[in-house]
Amino acid sequence: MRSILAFAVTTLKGGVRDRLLQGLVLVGFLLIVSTAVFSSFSMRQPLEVAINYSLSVIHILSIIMTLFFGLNLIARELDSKENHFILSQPIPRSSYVMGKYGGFLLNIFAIVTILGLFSIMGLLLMIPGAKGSVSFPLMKFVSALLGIFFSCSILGAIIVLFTSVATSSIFPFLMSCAVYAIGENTQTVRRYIASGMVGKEFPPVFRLLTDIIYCIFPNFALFDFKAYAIYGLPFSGRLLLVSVAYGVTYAAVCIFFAVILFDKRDI
Amino acid sequence: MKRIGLGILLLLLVALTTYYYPKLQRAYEPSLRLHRLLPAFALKISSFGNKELMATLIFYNTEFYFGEKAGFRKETPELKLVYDALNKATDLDPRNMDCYYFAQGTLSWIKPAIPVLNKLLEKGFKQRPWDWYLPFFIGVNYYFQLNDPVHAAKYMKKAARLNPRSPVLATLAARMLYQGNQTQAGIIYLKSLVRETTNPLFRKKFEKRLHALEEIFFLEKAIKQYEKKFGKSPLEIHELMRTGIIRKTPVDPYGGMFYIGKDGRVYTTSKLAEGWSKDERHKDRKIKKSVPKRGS
Repeated sequence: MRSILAFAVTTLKGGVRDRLLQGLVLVGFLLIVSTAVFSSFSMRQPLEVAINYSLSVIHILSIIMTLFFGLNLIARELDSKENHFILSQPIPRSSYVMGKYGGFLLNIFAIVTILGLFSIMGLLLMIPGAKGSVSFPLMKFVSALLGIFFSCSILGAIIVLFTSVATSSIFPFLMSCAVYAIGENTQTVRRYIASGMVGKEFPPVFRLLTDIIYCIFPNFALFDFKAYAIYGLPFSGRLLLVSVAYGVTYAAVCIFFAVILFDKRDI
Repeated sequence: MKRIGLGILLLLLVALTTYYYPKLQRAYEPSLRLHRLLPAFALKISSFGNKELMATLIFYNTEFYFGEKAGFRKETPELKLVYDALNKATDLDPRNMDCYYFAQGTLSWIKPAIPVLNKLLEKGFKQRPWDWYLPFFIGVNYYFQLNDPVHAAKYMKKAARLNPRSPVLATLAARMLYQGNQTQAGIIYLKSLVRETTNPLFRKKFEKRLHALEEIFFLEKAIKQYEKKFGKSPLEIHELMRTGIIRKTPVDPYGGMFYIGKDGRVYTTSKLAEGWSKDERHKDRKIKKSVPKRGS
Protein backbone atom coordinates (compact mmCIF):
# COMPACT_ATOMS: atom_id res chain seq x y z
CA MET A 1 0.00 0.00 0.00
CA ARG A 2 2.84 2.34 0.90
CA SER A 3 4.57 1.71 -2.41
CA ILE A 4 1.31 2.44 -4.30
CA LEU A 5 1.02 5.73 -2.44
CA ALA A 6 4.66 6.56 -3.15
CA PHE A 7 4.16 5.95 -6.88
CA ALA A 8 0.96 8.03 -6.85
CA VAL A 9 2.64 10.97 -5.12
CA THR A 10 5.63 10.77 -7.49
CA THR A 11 3.27 10.82 -10.49
CA LEU A 12 1.41 13.83 -9.04
CA LYS A 13 4.73 15.60 -8.45
CA GLY A 14 5.64 14.79 -12.05
CA GLY A 15 2.56 16.70 -13.15
CA VAL A 16 3.54 19.68 -11.02
CA ARG A 17 7.10 19.50 -12.35
CA ASP A 18 5.76 19.60 -15.90
CA ARG A 19 4.23 23.03 -15.06
CA LEU A 20 0.78 21.52 -15.33
CA LEU A 21 -0.65 23.78 -12.61
CA GLN A 22 0.75 26.97 -14.11
CA GLY A 23 -0.66 25.97 -17.48
CA LEU A 24 -4.02 25.22 -15.94
CA VAL A 25 -4.21 28.61 -14.21
CA LEU A 26 -3.52 30.30 -17.54
CA VAL A 27 -6.15 28.16 -19.30
CA GLY A 28 -8.55 28.96 -16.44
CA PHE A 29 -8.16 32.71 -17.01
CA LEU A 30 -8.65 32.24 -20.74
CA LEU A 31 -11.74 30.16 -19.97
CA ILE A 32 -13.30 32.96 -17.91
CA VAL A 33 -12.64 35.58 -20.58
CA SER A 34 -13.70 33.39 -23.51
CA THR A 35 -16.88 32.24 -21.71
CA ALA A 36 -18.05 35.84 -21.44
CA VAL A 37 -17.26 36.47 -25.13
CA PHE A 38 -18.81 33.22 -26.34
CA SER A 39 -22.05 33.64 -24.43
CA SER A 40 -22.47 37.26 -25.51
CA PHE A 41 -23.73 36.09 -28.93
CA SER A 42 -26.67 34.31 -27.37
CA MET A 43 -30.06 35.93 -27.85
CA ARG A 44 -32.10 34.46 -25.02
CA GLN A 45 -29.89 32.30 -22.81
CA PRO A 46 -26.42 33.72 -22.17
CA LEU A 47 -26.00 31.96 -18.82
CA GLU A 48 -27.06 28.60 -20.27
CA VAL A 49 -24.63 29.07 -23.16
CA ALA A 50 -21.88 30.05 -20.71
CA ILE A 51 -22.45 26.90 -18.62
CA ASN A 52 -22.60 24.81 -21.80
CA TYR A 53 -19.35 26.31 -23.10
CA SER A 54 -17.52 25.99 -19.76
CA LEU A 55 -18.45 22.35 -19.26
CA SER A 56 -17.73 21.41 -22.87
CA VAL A 57 -14.32 23.09 -22.80
CA ILE A 58 -13.46 21.38 -19.49
CA HIS A 59 -14.65 18.06 -20.98
CA ILE A 60 -12.59 18.42 -24.16
CA LEU A 61 -9.47 19.63 -22.32
CA SER A 62 -9.74 16.87 -19.72
CA ILE A 63 -10.05 14.19 -22.39
CA ILE A 64 -7.03 15.57 -24.26
CA MET A 65 -5.05 15.79 -21.02
CA THR A 66 -6.12 12.23 -20.14
CA LEU A 67 -4.87 10.90 -23.46
CA PHE A 68 -1.50 12.61 -23.27
CA PHE A 69 -0.99 12.27 -19.54
CA GLY A 70 -2.17 8.66 -19.57
CA LEU A 71 0.32 7.79 -22.28
CA ASN A 72 3.13 9.49 -20.36
CA LEU A 73 2.31 7.35 -17.34
CA ILE A 74 3.79 4.01 -18.37
CA ALA A 75 4.02 3.76 -22.16
CA ARG A 76 6.58 6.54 -22.64
CA GLU A 77 8.58 5.29 -19.66
CA LEU A 78 8.65 1.86 -21.26
CA ASP A 79 9.64 3.40 -24.60
CA SER A 80 12.55 5.27 -23.06
CA LYS A 81 13.35 2.42 -20.62
CA GLU A 82 13.13 4.92 -17.73
CA ASN A 83 11.20 2.54 -15.51
CA HIS A 84 13.50 -0.45 -15.94
CA PHE A 85 15.45 0.56 -12.85
CA ILE A 86 12.28 0.85 -10.74
CA LEU A 87 10.85 -2.42 -12.01
CA SER A 88 14.08 -4.27 -11.22
CA GLN A 89 13.63 -3.37 -7.52
CA PRO A 90 11.81 -5.79 -5.16
CA ILE A 91 8.52 -3.96 -5.55
CA PRO A 92 5.44 -5.76 -6.89
CA ARG A 93 4.55 -4.69 -10.41
CA SER A 94 0.96 -4.36 -9.33
CA SER A 95 1.99 -1.55 -6.96
CA TYR A 96 3.70 0.20 -9.85
CA VAL A 97 0.62 0.01 -12.11
CA MET A 98 -1.87 0.94 -9.39
CA GLY A 99 0.37 3.68 -8.03
CA LYS A 100 0.79 5.19 -11.47
CA TYR A 101 -2.96 5.06 -12.05
CA GLY A 102 -3.58 6.62 -8.62
CA GLY A 103 -1.22 9.48 -9.49
CA PHE A 104 -2.99 9.90 -12.80
CA LEU A 105 -6.35 10.16 -10.99
CA LEU A 106 -4.94 12.81 -8.65
CA ASN A 107 -3.69 14.81 -11.63
CA ILE A 108 -7.01 14.57 -13.49
CA PHE A 109 -8.86 15.49 -10.32
CA ALA A 110 -6.64 18.57 -9.99
CA ILE A 111 -7.28 19.51 -13.65
CA VAL A 112 -11.07 19.19 -13.39
CA THR A 113 -11.17 20.94 -10.01
CA ILE A 114 -9.01 23.90 -11.01
CA LEU A 115 -10.80 24.44 -14.32
CA GLY A 116 -14.16 23.92 -12.60
CA LEU A 117 -13.34 26.52 -9.94
CA PHE A 118 -12.31 29.05 -12.59
CA SER A 119 -15.52 28.35 -14.51
CA ILE A 120 -17.70 28.76 -11.42
CA MET A 121 -15.93 32.04 -10.71
CA GLY A 122 -16.54 33.26 -14.25
CA LEU A 123 -20.19 32.15 -14.22
CA LEU A 124 -20.86 33.80 -10.86
CA LEU A 125 -19.38 37.00 -12.24
CA MET A 126 -21.80 36.80 -15.17
CA ILE A 127 -24.97 36.49 -13.06
CA PRO A 128 -25.26 40.14 -11.87
CA GLY A 129 -25.13 41.31 -15.50
CA ALA A 130 -27.77 38.82 -16.69
CA LYS A 131 -31.32 39.96 -17.45
CA GLY A 132 -34.10 38.96 -15.08
CA SER A 133 -33.76 36.60 -12.16
CA VAL A 134 -31.30 33.86 -13.05
CA SER A 135 -29.93 31.22 -10.77
CA PHE A 136 -26.81 29.18 -11.17
CA PRO A 137 -27.36 25.44 -10.49
CA LEU A 138 -24.09 24.94 -8.58
CA MET A 139 -24.72 21.37 -7.42
CA LYS A 140 -25.70 20.22 -10.91
CA PHE A 141 -22.59 21.93 -12.27
CA VAL A 142 -20.45 20.06 -9.74
CA SER A 143 -22.22 16.81 -10.70
CA ALA A 144 -21.38 17.47 -14.35
CA LEU A 145 -17.73 18.01 -13.36
CA LEU A 146 -17.83 14.75 -11.45
CA GLY A 147 -19.18 13.07 -14.59
CA ILE A 148 -16.24 14.45 -16.60
CA PHE A 149 -13.80 13.19 -13.96
CA PHE A 150 -15.26 9.68 -14.12
CA SER A 151 -15.15 9.67 -17.93
CA CYS A 152 -11.46 10.53 -17.74
CA SER A 153 -10.87 7.92 -15.03
CA ILE A 154 -12.28 5.16 -17.23
CA LEU A 155 -10.35 6.38 -20.25
CA GLY A 156 -7.18 6.48 -18.14
CA ALA A 157 -7.78 2.91 -16.98
CA ILE A 158 -8.23 1.82 -20.60
CA ILE A 159 -4.93 3.50 -21.56
CA VAL A 160 -3.19 1.66 -18.70
CA LEU A 161 -4.77 -1.61 -19.87
CA PHE A 162 -3.53 -1.18 -23.44
CA THR A 163 -0.14 0.03 -22.21
CA SER A 164 0.32 -3.16 -20.24
CA VAL A 165 0.35 -5.22 -23.45
CA ALA A 166 1.79 -2.72 -25.92
CA THR A 167 5.37 -2.44 -26.99
CA SER A 168 5.14 1.19 -28.10
CA SER A 169 3.09 4.25 -27.06
CA ILE A 170 1.35 4.56 -30.45
CA PHE A 171 -0.74 1.39 -30.04
CA PRO A 172 -2.34 2.39 -26.70
CA PHE A 173 -2.95 5.92 -28.02
CA LEU A 174 -4.78 4.72 -31.13
CA MET A 175 -6.70 2.03 -29.27
CA SER A 176 -7.75 4.40 -26.51
CA CYS A 177 -8.95 6.96 -29.06
CA ALA A 178 -10.97 4.25 -30.80
CA VAL A 179 -12.48 2.98 -27.53
CA TYR A 180 -13.36 6.54 -26.52
CA ALA A 181 -15.02 7.24 -29.88
CA ILE A 182 -17.05 4.03 -29.67
CA GLY A 183 -17.86 4.38 -25.97
CA GLU A 184 -19.09 7.93 -26.41
CA ASN A 185 -21.57 6.86 -29.10
CA THR A 186 -22.76 3.33 -28.33
CA GLN A 187 -25.82 4.58 -26.46
CA THR A 188 -26.73 7.03 -29.26
CA VAL A 189 -26.44 4.32 -31.93
CA ARG A 190 -28.41 1.79 -29.89
CA ARG A 191 -31.20 4.27 -29.23
CA TYR A 192 -31.23 5.38 -32.86
CA ILE A 193 -31.69 1.82 -34.07
CA ALA A 194 -34.35 1.15 -31.43
CA SER A 195 -36.24 4.35 -32.36
CA GLY A 196 -36.90 3.02 -35.86
CA MET A 197 -36.05 6.41 -37.37
CA VAL A 198 -33.54 4.83 -39.73
CA GLY A 199 -36.36 3.88 -42.07
CA LYS A 200 -35.24 0.33 -42.59
CA GLU A 201 -35.16 -2.86 -40.59
CA PHE A 202 -31.74 -3.96 -39.37
CA PRO A 203 -30.86 -7.68 -39.41
CA PRO A 204 -30.97 -9.31 -35.95
CA VAL A 205 -27.22 -10.00 -36.16
CA PHE A 206 -26.57 -6.28 -36.44
CA ARG A 207 -28.73 -5.56 -33.42
CA LEU A 208 -26.96 -8.30 -31.46
CA LEU A 209 -23.60 -6.85 -32.47
CA THR A 210 -24.56 -3.36 -31.26
CA ASP A 211 -25.78 -4.88 -27.99
CA ILE A 212 -22.48 -6.71 -27.50
CA ILE A 213 -20.49 -3.56 -28.29
CA TYR A 214 -22.72 -1.62 -25.90
CA CYS A 215 -21.97 -4.10 -23.11
CA ILE A 216 -18.24 -4.44 -23.69
CA PHE A 217 -17.23 -0.87 -24.37
CA PRO A 218 -17.55 1.78 -21.67
CA ASN A 219 -20.68 3.88 -21.94
CA PHE A 220 -19.35 7.41 -21.60
CA ALA A 221 -22.82 8.88 -22.21
CA LEU A 222 -23.71 7.73 -18.68
CA PHE A 223 -21.46 10.45 -17.30
CA ASP A 224 -22.87 13.27 -19.41
CA PHE A 225 -24.73 15.46 -16.91
CA LYS A 226 -24.18 18.66 -18.86
CA ALA A 227 -27.84 19.12 -19.87
CA TYR A 228 -28.90 19.00 -16.20
CA ALA A 229 -26.45 21.74 -15.32
CA ILE A 230 -27.17 23.89 -18.39
CA TYR A 231 -30.95 23.93 -18.09
CA GLY A 232 -31.26 23.21 -14.36
CA LEU A 233 -33.28 20.05 -15.07
CA PRO A 234 -34.42 17.89 -12.14
CA PHE A 235 -31.54 15.66 -11.20
CA SER A 236 -31.61 12.46 -9.19
CA GLY A 237 -28.85 11.54 -6.78
CA ARG A 238 -29.52 7.90 -7.61
CA LEU A 239 -28.53 8.54 -11.23
CA LEU A 240 -25.22 9.98 -10.07
CA LEU A 241 -24.70 7.09 -7.70
CA VAL A 242 -25.34 4.46 -10.38
CA SER A 243 -23.01 6.25 -12.79
CA VAL A 244 -20.28 6.52 -10.15
CA ALA A 245 -20.68 2.81 -9.31
CA TYR A 246 -20.44 1.92 -13.01
CA GLY A 247 -17.36 4.12 -13.45
CA VAL A 248 -15.56 2.74 -10.41
CA THR A 249 -16.25 -0.91 -11.30
CA TYR A 250 -15.34 -0.48 -14.98
CA ALA A 251 -12.06 1.26 -14.11
CA ALA A 252 -11.34 -1.38 -11.44
CA VAL A 253 -11.86 -4.20 -13.96
CA CYS A 254 -9.51 -2.50 -16.44
CA ILE A 255 -6.81 -1.99 -13.81
CA PHE A 256 -7.26 -5.57 -12.57
CA PHE A 257 -6.56 -6.97 -16.04
CA ALA A 258 -3.80 -4.41 -16.60
CA VAL A 259 -2.04 -5.64 -13.43
CA ILE A 260 -2.31 -9.30 -14.52
CA LEU A 261 -1.03 -8.56 -18.03
CA PHE A 262 1.75 -6.26 -16.80
CA ASP A 263 2.85 -8.89 -14.29
CA LYS A 264 3.33 -11.47 -17.05
CA ARG A 265 5.10 -9.09 -19.35
CA ASP A 266 8.79 -9.46 -20.25
CA ILE A 267 10.67 -6.22 -19.79
CA MET B 1 21.20 46.98 -35.49
CA LYS B 2 20.53 44.87 -38.58
CA ARG B 3 18.32 42.57 -36.54
CA ILE B 4 16.26 45.47 -35.17
CA GLY B 5 15.83 46.82 -38.69
CA LEU B 6 14.73 43.41 -39.96
CA GLY B 7 12.31 43.07 -37.06
CA ILE B 8 10.75 46.49 -37.79
CA LEU B 9 10.51 45.61 -41.49
CA LEU B 10 8.72 42.36 -40.70
CA LEU B 11 6.32 44.15 -38.36
CA LEU B 12 5.57 46.72 -41.07
CA LEU B 13 4.88 43.95 -43.57
CA VAL B 14 2.48 42.29 -41.15
CA ALA B 15 0.71 45.63 -40.56
CA LEU B 16 0.48 46.28 -44.30
CA THR B 17 -0.98 42.88 -45.14
CA THR B 18 -3.38 43.14 -42.18
CA TYR B 19 -4.60 46.46 -43.58
CA TYR B 20 -4.94 45.39 -47.21
CA TYR B 21 -6.15 41.83 -46.80
CA PRO B 22 -9.77 42.64 -45.87
CA LYS B 23 -10.06 44.95 -48.91
CA LEU B 24 -8.76 42.30 -51.26
CA GLN B 25 -10.90 39.69 -49.57
CA ARG B 26 -14.03 41.75 -50.15
CA ALA B 27 -13.19 42.24 -53.82
CA TYR B 28 -12.70 38.52 -54.46
CA GLU B 29 -15.19 37.17 -51.98
CA PRO B 30 -17.52 34.48 -53.29
CA SER B 31 -21.22 34.61 -52.55
CA LEU B 32 -21.97 33.76 -48.95
CA ARG B 33 -23.67 30.38 -48.62
CA LEU B 34 -25.00 28.41 -45.73
CA HIS B 35 -24.03 24.81 -46.37
CA ARG B 36 -26.43 21.97 -45.76
CA LEU B 37 -25.42 20.13 -42.63
CA LEU B 38 -24.96 16.40 -42.12
CA PRO B 39 -27.94 14.49 -40.73
CA ALA B 40 -28.56 15.13 -37.03
CA PHE B 41 -27.49 11.60 -36.11
CA ALA B 42 -24.09 12.07 -37.77
CA LEU B 43 -23.70 15.43 -36.05
CA LYS B 44 -24.51 13.84 -32.71
CA ILE B 45 -21.88 11.13 -33.28
CA SER B 46 -19.22 13.63 -34.30
CA SER B 47 -19.86 15.87 -31.29
CA PHE B 48 -18.22 13.27 -28.97
CA GLY B 49 -20.51 13.94 -26.07
CA ASN B 50 -20.69 17.70 -26.55
CA LYS B 51 -23.91 17.90 -28.56
CA GLU B 52 -25.11 20.99 -26.68
CA LEU B 53 -21.95 22.84 -27.68
CA MET B 54 -22.32 21.70 -31.28
CA ALA B 55 -25.93 22.92 -31.32
CA THR B 56 -24.77 26.31 -30.05
CA LEU B 57 -22.03 26.45 -32.70
CA ILE B 58 -24.53 25.61 -35.46
CA PHE B 59 -26.83 28.30 -34.14
CA TYR B 60 -24.01 30.88 -34.04
CA ASN B 61 -22.99 29.96 -37.57
CA THR B 62 -26.58 30.44 -38.75
CA GLU B 63 -26.94 33.68 -36.80
CA PHE B 64 -23.70 35.11 -38.24
CA TYR B 65 -24.65 33.97 -41.74
CA PHE B 66 -28.01 35.68 -41.47
CA GLY B 67 -26.46 38.83 -40.01
CA GLU B 68 -23.80 39.09 -42.70
CA LYS B 69 -26.09 38.16 -45.58
CA ALA B 70 -29.08 40.32 -44.66
CA GLY B 71 -27.41 43.09 -42.68
CA PHE B 72 -23.95 43.49 -44.17
CA ARG B 73 -24.39 42.35 -47.80
CA LYS B 74 -28.06 43.33 -48.12
CA GLU B 75 -28.86 40.02 -49.82
CA THR B 76 -31.74 37.62 -49.21
CA PRO B 77 -30.67 34.78 -46.91
CA GLU B 78 -31.44 31.18 -47.89
CA LEU B 79 -34.21 30.68 -45.36
CA LYS B 80 -34.80 27.00 -46.12
CA LEU B 81 -31.20 26.31 -45.15
CA VAL B 82 -31.60 28.51 -42.09
CA TYR B 83 -34.55 26.37 -41.07
CA ASP B 84 -32.62 23.17 -41.81
CA ALA B 85 -29.71 24.30 -39.62
CA LEU B 86 -31.98 25.33 -36.75
CA ASN B 87 -33.93 22.09 -37.01
CA LYS B 88 -30.73 20.04 -36.81
CA ALA B 89 -29.36 22.18 -33.98
CA THR B 90 -32.55 21.53 -32.01
CA ASP B 91 -32.29 17.81 -32.80
CA LEU B 92 -28.92 17.92 -31.03
CA ASP B 93 -30.11 20.11 -28.18
CA PRO B 94 -33.92 20.38 -28.16
CA ARG B 95 -33.82 22.84 -25.24
CA ASN B 96 -31.76 25.48 -27.05
CA MET B 97 -34.06 28.49 -26.80
CA ASP B 98 -31.86 30.66 -29.01
CA CYS B 99 -32.75 28.47 -32.00
CA TYR B 100 -36.51 28.77 -31.44
CA TYR B 101 -36.31 32.48 -30.83
CA PHE B 102 -34.25 33.03 -33.96
CA ALA B 103 -36.54 30.78 -36.03
CA GLN B 104 -39.58 32.74 -34.89
CA GLY B 105 -37.84 36.02 -35.69
CA THR B 106 -36.76 35.03 -39.18
CA LEU B 107 -39.47 32.67 -40.44
CA SER B 108 -42.73 33.80 -38.82
CA TRP B 109 -43.42 36.37 -41.54
CA ILE B 110 -43.38 33.75 -44.31
CA LYS B 111 -46.81 32.14 -44.46
CA PRO B 112 -45.79 28.86 -46.18
CA ALA B 113 -43.11 28.35 -43.53
CA ILE B 114 -45.56 28.48 -40.61
CA PRO B 115 -46.46 24.75 -40.50
CA VAL B 116 -42.80 23.69 -40.28
CA LEU B 117 -41.99 26.57 -37.94
CA ASN B 118 -44.80 25.57 -35.61
CA LYS B 119 -43.57 21.97 -35.74
CA LEU B 120 -40.13 23.17 -34.70
CA LEU B 121 -41.61 25.24 -31.87
CA GLU B 122 -43.70 22.24 -30.78
CA LYS B 123 -40.49 20.25 -30.49
CA GLY B 124 -39.13 22.97 -28.23
CA PHE B 125 -42.29 23.11 -26.14
CA LYS B 126 -42.09 19.37 -25.48
CA GLN B 127 -38.60 19.80 -24.06
CA ARG B 128 -39.15 23.19 -22.42
CA PRO B 129 -42.60 22.76 -20.88
CA TRP B 130 -41.86 25.59 -18.44
CA ASP B 131 -41.26 28.20 -21.14
CA TRP B 132 -44.30 30.34 -21.98
CA TYR B 133 -42.62 31.92 -25.00
CA LEU B 134 -42.96 28.79 -27.14
CA PRO B 135 -46.76 28.33 -26.89
CA PHE B 136 -47.05 32.10 -27.23
CA PHE B 137 -45.10 32.02 -30.50
CA ILE B 138 -47.18 29.11 -31.81
CA GLY B 139 -50.39 30.92 -30.85
CA VAL B 140 -49.28 34.11 -32.56
CA ASN B 141 -48.40 32.17 -35.73
CA TYR B 142 -51.77 30.44 -35.79
CA TYR B 143 -53.62 33.67 -35.24
CA PHE B 144 -51.86 36.11 -37.53
CA GLN B 145 -50.57 33.86 -40.32
CA LEU B 146 -53.00 30.96 -40.44
CA ASN B 147 -56.12 32.89 -39.32
CA ASP B 148 -56.92 30.10 -36.91
CA PRO B 149 -58.08 31.66 -33.63
CA VAL B 150 -59.22 28.30 -32.21
CA HIS B 151 -55.71 26.79 -32.28
CA ALA B 152 -54.22 30.16 -31.39
CA ALA B 153 -56.38 30.32 -28.26
CA LYS B 154 -55.36 26.78 -27.28
CA TYR B 155 -51.69 27.75 -27.22
CA MET B 156 -52.30 31.18 -25.76
CA LYS B 157 -54.08 29.49 -22.85
CA LYS B 158 -51.01 27.32 -22.29
CA ALA B 159 -48.78 30.40 -22.40
CA ALA B 160 -51.05 32.21 -19.94
CA ARG B 161 -50.96 29.25 -17.56
CA LEU B 162 -47.15 29.22 -17.66
CA ASN B 163 -46.88 32.96 -17.15
CA PRO B 164 -49.59 33.84 -14.64
CA ARG B 165 -47.90 37.18 -13.92
CA SER B 166 -48.98 38.51 -17.29
CA PRO B 167 -52.75 39.07 -17.56
CA VAL B 168 -52.36 40.06 -21.21
CA LEU B 169 -51.83 36.47 -22.31
CA ALA B 170 -54.95 35.29 -20.53
CA THR B 171 -57.18 38.04 -21.91
CA LEU B 172 -55.66 37.47 -25.35
CA ALA B 173 -56.52 33.79 -25.16
CA ALA B 174 -60.10 34.61 -24.16
CA ARG B 175 -60.36 37.04 -27.04
CA MET B 176 -59.11 34.42 -29.48
CA LEU B 177 -61.63 31.92 -28.15
CA TYR B 178 -64.37 34.46 -28.77
CA GLN B 179 -63.12 35.14 -32.27
CA GLY B 180 -62.93 31.43 -32.91
CA ASN B 181 -66.63 31.21 -32.10
CA GLN B 182 -65.90 29.66 -28.73
CA THR B 183 -67.34 32.35 -26.48
CA GLN B 184 -68.58 29.92 -23.87
CA ALA B 185 -65.14 28.28 -23.64
CA GLY B 186 -63.67 31.76 -23.17
CA ILE B 187 -66.12 32.45 -20.35
CA ILE B 188 -65.28 29.22 -18.54
CA TYR B 189 -61.60 29.91 -18.97
CA LEU B 190 -61.86 33.45 -17.62
CA LYS B 191 -64.00 32.32 -14.69
CA SER B 192 -61.26 29.90 -13.68
CA LEU B 193 -58.70 32.69 -13.93
CA VAL B 194 -60.80 35.01 -11.79
CA ARG B 195 -61.08 32.25 -9.22
CA GLU B 196 -57.36 31.43 -9.21
CA THR B 197 -55.68 34.81 -9.37
CA THR B 198 -54.56 36.53 -6.18
CA ASN B 199 -53.55 39.80 -7.80
CA PRO B 200 -56.45 42.32 -7.50
CA LEU B 201 -55.33 44.26 -10.58
CA PHE B 202 -55.27 41.12 -12.72
CA ARG B 203 -58.61 40.01 -11.33
CA LYS B 204 -60.11 43.34 -12.37
CA LYS B 205 -58.82 42.88 -15.91
CA PHE B 206 -60.12 39.30 -16.11
CA GLU B 207 -63.51 40.33 -14.71
CA LYS B 208 -63.83 43.07 -17.27
CA ARG B 209 -63.14 40.68 -20.12
CA LEU B 210 -65.40 38.07 -18.57
CA HIS B 211 -68.20 40.59 -18.35
CA ALA B 212 -67.76 41.49 -22.03
CA LEU B 213 -67.79 37.85 -23.12
CA GLU B 214 -70.86 37.13 -21.01
CA GLU B 215 -72.68 39.98 -22.71
CA ILE B 216 -71.64 38.65 -26.12
CA PHE B 217 -72.74 35.16 -25.18
CA PHE B 218 -76.07 36.56 -24.01
CA LEU B 219 -76.55 38.20 -27.42
CA GLU B 220 -75.45 35.06 -29.28
CA LYS B 221 -78.10 33.04 -27.43
CA ALA B 222 -80.70 35.73 -28.24
CA ILE B 223 -79.76 35.55 -31.94
CA LYS B 224 -80.22 31.76 -31.95
CA GLN B 225 -83.62 32.23 -30.31
CA TYR B 226 -84.57 34.78 -32.98
CA GLU B 227 -83.47 32.44 -35.78
CA LYS B 228 -85.54 29.63 -34.27
CA LYS B 229 -88.58 31.87 -33.99
CA PHE B 230 -88.44 33.70 -37.33
CA GLY B 231 -86.36 31.38 -39.49
CA LYS B 232 -83.89 34.12 -40.42
CA SER B 233 -81.00 35.97 -38.82
CA PRO B 234 -81.51 39.42 -37.29
CA LEU B 235 -79.66 42.26 -38.95
CA GLU B 236 -79.43 44.54 -35.92
CA ILE B 237 -79.49 44.27 -32.15
CA HIS B 238 -82.60 46.49 -32.09
CA GLU B 239 -84.57 43.74 -33.83
CA LEU B 240 -83.92 41.52 -30.82
CA MET B 241 -85.32 44.22 -28.57
CA ARG B 242 -88.27 44.97 -30.86
CA THR B 243 -89.34 41.38 -30.93
CA GLY B 244 -89.03 41.14 -27.14
CA ILE B 245 -86.26 38.55 -27.10
CA ILE B 246 -84.08 40.91 -25.06
CA ARG B 247 -85.22 43.83 -22.96
CA LYS B 248 -82.19 46.10 -23.27
CA THR B 249 -78.93 46.24 -25.20
CA PRO B 250 -75.99 44.96 -23.13
CA VAL B 251 -73.22 47.43 -22.40
CA ASP B 252 -69.67 46.73 -23.57
CA PRO B 253 -67.39 47.27 -20.54
CA TYR B 254 -64.66 48.41 -22.95
CA GLY B 255 -66.84 51.34 -24.03
CA GLY B 256 -67.82 50.05 -27.48
CA MET B 257 -71.17 49.19 -29.02
CA PHE B 258 -72.37 45.69 -29.86
CA TYR B 259 -73.56 45.02 -33.37
CA ILE B 260 -74.39 42.05 -35.59
CA GLY B 261 -71.95 41.52 -38.42
CA LYS B 262 -72.79 40.34 -41.94
CA ASP B 263 -71.80 36.82 -40.94
CA GLY B 264 -74.42 36.87 -38.18
CA ARG B 265 -71.89 37.12 -35.36
CA VAL B 266 -71.85 39.56 -32.49
CA TYR B 267 -69.09 42.14 -32.66
CA THR B 268 -68.22 45.20 -30.70
CA THR B 269 -66.74 48.42 -31.96
CA SER B 270 -64.21 48.37 -29.10
CA LYS B 271 -62.73 45.08 -30.39
CA LEU B 272 -62.48 44.24 -26.67
CA ALA B 273 -59.42 46.43 -26.47
CA GLU B 274 -58.45 48.82 -23.70
CA GLY B 275 -58.06 52.50 -24.50
CA TRP B 276 -60.76 52.62 -27.15
CA SER B 277 -62.08 56.15 -27.68
CA LYS B 278 -65.81 56.77 -28.10
CA ASP B 279 -65.15 59.04 -31.09
CA GLU B 280 -64.10 56.03 -33.11
CA ARG B 281 -67.56 54.48 -33.10
CA HIS B 282 -68.24 55.51 -36.66
CA LYS B 283 -65.25 53.48 -37.90
CA ASP B 284 -67.32 50.30 -37.68
CA ARG B 285 -66.69 49.19 -41.24
CA LYS B 286 -62.96 49.31 -40.87
CA ILE B 287 -63.10 47.40 -37.61
CA LYS B 288 -65.37 44.76 -39.09
CA LYS B 289 -62.81 43.99 -41.76
CA SER B 290 -60.00 43.39 -39.31
CA VAL B 291 -61.94 40.85 -37.24
CA PRO B 292 -61.21 37.27 -38.41
CA LYS B 293 -64.18 35.48 -39.92
CA ARG B 294 -66.29 33.16 -37.87
CA GLY B 295 -64.95 29.64 -37.68
CA SER B 296 -61.98 30.44 -39.91
